[in-house]
Amino acid sequence: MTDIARFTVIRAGPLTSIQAGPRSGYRRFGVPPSGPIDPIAHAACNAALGNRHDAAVIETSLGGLTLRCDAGEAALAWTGGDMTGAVDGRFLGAWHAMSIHAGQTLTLRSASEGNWAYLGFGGALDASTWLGSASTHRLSGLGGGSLIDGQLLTVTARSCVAAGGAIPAPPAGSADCLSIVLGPQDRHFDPRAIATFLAAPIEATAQFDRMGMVLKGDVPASAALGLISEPAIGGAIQIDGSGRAVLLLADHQTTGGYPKLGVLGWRDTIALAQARPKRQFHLREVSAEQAVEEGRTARAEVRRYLAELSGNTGSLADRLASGNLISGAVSVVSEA
Amino acid sequence: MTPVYRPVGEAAVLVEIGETIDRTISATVIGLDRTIASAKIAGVVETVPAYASLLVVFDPDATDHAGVIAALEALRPDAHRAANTSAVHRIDASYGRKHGPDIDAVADATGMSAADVIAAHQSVEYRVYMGGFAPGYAYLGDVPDVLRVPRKTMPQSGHPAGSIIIAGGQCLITTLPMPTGWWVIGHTDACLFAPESDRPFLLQPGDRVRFTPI
Repeated sequence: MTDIARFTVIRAGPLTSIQAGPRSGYRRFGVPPSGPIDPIAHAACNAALGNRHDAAVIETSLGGLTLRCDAGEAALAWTGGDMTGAVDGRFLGAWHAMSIHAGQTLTLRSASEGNWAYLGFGGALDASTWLGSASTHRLSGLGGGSLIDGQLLTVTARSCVAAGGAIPAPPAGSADCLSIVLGPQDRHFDPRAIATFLAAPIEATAQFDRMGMVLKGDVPASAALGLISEPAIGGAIQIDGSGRAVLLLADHQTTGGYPKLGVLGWRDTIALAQARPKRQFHLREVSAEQAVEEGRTARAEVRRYLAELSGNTGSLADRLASGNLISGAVSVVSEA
Repeated sequence: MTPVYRPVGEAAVLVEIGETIDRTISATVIGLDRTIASAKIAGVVETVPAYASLLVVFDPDATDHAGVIAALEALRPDAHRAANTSAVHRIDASYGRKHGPDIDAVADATGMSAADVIAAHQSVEYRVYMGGFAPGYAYLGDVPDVLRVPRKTMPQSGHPAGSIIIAGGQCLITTLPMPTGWWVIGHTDACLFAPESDRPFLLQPGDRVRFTPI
């Protein structure tokens, strides 16, 4: 049994869009994977609702989101950072699941941690897909799309509403240490400058969007500004012509001529993307082999956590979808 | 050319064939790309050809760098076959006036008349070296030497999708309105990017393009 629930977006902060699983296979045509900046929080939101882990949900950032339920009833859940929710003024905290019915208004507000949060619905959020995914590519607006004030949303909700309450947080990585594999263009930097960069703390900044985040650190000057364009992927730290270090995220350009000094680990990329300005991390150089080992360990931990959240009721499709976690972290930059 | 394999984080290998924009290097890249596509290497999820390199993205829960590199080394790519199976596109172009506001500046910079700029731009067959930047963007190389001008010092906005733009040895046809530091010399109504179509992207890496006057 399903019912239709309808919502109005009363207010959508900047960078609010629909995100599902990443799209794969189109980087060669300039199309990055897109998908959630924090695929762990995204999957947790869906798991808590009994959805496929890559189902379409709303991604929002520091500006938050207010939705009014106009018709029907639906389970919903929010995860990511410590974005807190309130229904009709009643405070419900962060990482929470509940049901909402016609006439009620939900407000999500950012608190002190995290840049990205997710709001999902038990059932299916009606969203257009492009190249096999409802994930929004913000530059073109293709996919489910960015949310704007006054927009109407339709949810084909399950009539059986999930139990509400707090959602346990995912296993954290090594909190203040980020693993980095040097390359593929590290040879264009002075080795002493790379050593200095690795030894100094690296700092998150407020300059971010779905394409990337500008980082502060002891950034080495690049000796090569005349490089021809090369493919890049998410998690890469690119040093641009003005000497800025930029962490590439889910929507970044697929090719670019600026050298990439190194690539962060899967969970490390998410941790840095979620970090508020001035939060500092240490870098730890690892080999590609170590990075694979660490990534496999991290994803196995996250899969166990998601399985517990789903109450081990996940279908085969869920388990296959959770195998997709990595694709959200791999993608590519250019300038025309 | 012996390829150089460089790990790119946890989940990719960059295969470097060369360091310049060159038809022979590009043919090797495209040949390798197509060979990988038909070889169906376990764990490889996507390949991204560029001017002189190819990114091979894999699922690190299914394989690793050493496994992918060993599989790549065992391949025997055929660059000639790839060159012979590429499409040739004829693209109608309008030059100058409102369609190509920079044509006079390019004429000044190259010491030619605007008519000579148009003739030079249409005189060669361009190769699609790679896609990138934004959906449907195709980087065409082989702009004639007499037409090569460095990019502007500051990007300018207000150019519609379909703008034909040049900088150095490269030429692009835009698919989204966006600021660019390249020189806008013309416009085409050809549809390079049809997002809702079953075949959204007209130009494939390795294809060839000829511009024809309207």
